Amino acid sequence: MPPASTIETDLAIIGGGPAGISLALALAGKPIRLLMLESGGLGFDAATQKLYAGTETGVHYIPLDATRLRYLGGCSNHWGGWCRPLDPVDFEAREWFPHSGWPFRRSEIEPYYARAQSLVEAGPFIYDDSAKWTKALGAPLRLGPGGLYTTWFQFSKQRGSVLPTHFGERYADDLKRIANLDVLLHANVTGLKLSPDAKRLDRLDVATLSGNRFVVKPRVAVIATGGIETPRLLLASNDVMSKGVGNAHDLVGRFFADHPIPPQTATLVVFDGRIPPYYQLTQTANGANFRAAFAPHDEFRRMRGVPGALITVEGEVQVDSTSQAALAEAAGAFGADASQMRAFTLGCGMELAPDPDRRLTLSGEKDALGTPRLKLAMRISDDDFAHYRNTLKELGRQLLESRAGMLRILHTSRAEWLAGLDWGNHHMGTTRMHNDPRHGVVDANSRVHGVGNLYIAGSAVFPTYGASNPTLNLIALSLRLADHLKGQFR
Amino acid sequence: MSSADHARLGRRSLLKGVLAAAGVLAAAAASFEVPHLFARRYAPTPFDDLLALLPDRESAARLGAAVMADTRSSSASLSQTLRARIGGHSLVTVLDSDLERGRLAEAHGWVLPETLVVLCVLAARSNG
Repeated sequence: MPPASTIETDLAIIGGGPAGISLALALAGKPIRLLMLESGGLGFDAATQKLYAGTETGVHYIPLDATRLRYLGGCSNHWGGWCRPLDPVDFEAREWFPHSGWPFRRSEIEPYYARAQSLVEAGPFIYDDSAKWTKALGAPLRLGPGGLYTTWFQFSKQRGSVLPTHFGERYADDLKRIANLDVLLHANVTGLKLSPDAKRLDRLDVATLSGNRFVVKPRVAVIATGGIETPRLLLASNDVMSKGVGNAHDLVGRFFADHPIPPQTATLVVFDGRIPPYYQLTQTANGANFRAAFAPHDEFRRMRGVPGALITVEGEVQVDSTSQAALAEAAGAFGADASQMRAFTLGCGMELAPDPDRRLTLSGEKDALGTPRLKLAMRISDDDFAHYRNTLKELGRQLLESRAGMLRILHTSRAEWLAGLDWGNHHMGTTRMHNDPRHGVVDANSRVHGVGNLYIAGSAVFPTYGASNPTLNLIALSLRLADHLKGQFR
Repeated sequence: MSSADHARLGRRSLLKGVLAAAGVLAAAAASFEVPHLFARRYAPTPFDDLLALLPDRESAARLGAAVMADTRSSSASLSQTLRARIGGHSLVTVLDSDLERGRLAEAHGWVLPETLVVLCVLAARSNG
């Protein structure tokens, strides 16, 4: 790019992660000139990655320059490939769950799941019909009537050495072949410049680490830089709107969320020792990779006020002598034969309640391009842990009721829950979606409230998070946005 | 054969007979009496009727010890509540009722019917 040049385009896509790439692929061949601006190159570069550095306070969180990756493909370069659609209840406003609810039902993005599934290369869209493909491996663990059931993940597939689909590596050639798309690598958007009345985006300031600076003037722009970088760009662009773009109601950067992963939350005992292998290990059938987990039914969640949760079965463990006494007593009392019992540790996926004070703000420090760095105030409430405990308790109840086994909850105090806490690297919620600008940064079409030609794609717009991994869902949402944008350019 | 030999034979027969009788008694003791002789004996409690419902009182006591400190109610009060709850029903019926009503308690983290946990606490207290 010649220095100080200006590029005009119809649609600028800022960020080349799963959301941005899906959007570009969906708009391929349409009469819209597309320009993708990606900060990184085709692989990891330490200097570019350092642009992500920030500070974290409060509950332990992964350093901001380690929880994401800044090159083509974005966070898909380190994801685990776990896919599962959000549940219908995740979209509902629930009185007992403050700030919850999307501006539409799941049915609104359902038509996009099949294409999203294809982009993540997870095989046919089967999920909770998976049991019929895994019959030969045995029936799911018997649970008494109640709140939880066996649900299914599917996995982005292994192709040669690539596990799972890394969007940059996988789609770089496809992007090159799109005639109406230009991709600029090493192009960092450092500012969103609004018109004087703040009603439209006028231009994007772009800089490279090699010192080049230029301008992009798009008719429409979509920010697809993830749940952390998106609010940074909005907050840092404060020359027309002093609080930042889209931040008239002080919402940008608030409600940050991720999925906490406390280690070894519980122990599952199966009395007869027989548990189908698909609970512990991914199985392949009918062209898809599956793994089972336990999840609360939507109805249970509505009735009992339970947020999203997923419980996986992990490695086999030994139980201590007091636990053996508990087993002897419970199995004896229920007339179950526990002579062949086996015990497993359980893995945790839990949804956090939306919290406006779990928040990203700008710090006083700046990166190599002069953009203010971020400061994260991370929080988890005791209620978040209490809700997950209640879900585990219900699973334990159902196991006893069916005489299949029993369950031990290993954490009681807050300190126990927080010890060794890890995170899913699922950055969500910081530019939440709501029809009312007082409660959301973007509207139901992902357009920034008050700015006619600026959109946000990705999990930054999730107003409520569910427990499912976000990638499949944010891609479905990006494909829906692509359809909306097609209409805008007609 | 001398008279001394007759006397020796008589003593030998008598000794054999005594040993045989002792063997029979030992066998009988082994099959009927020994387990009782070596089994743990518990001092009587006012809630032996409840403790008799437990499948394994030793295990119950070990588990109950893990939650004893968290249970403030007196044994009399606990046993009164349990008797009212159990009535004439079998233990498993009452435990199933606990599960159905969501009447649960945790012992050493294990999610169990409350009735079973309270019985375990009584077992632990009865162990002194």
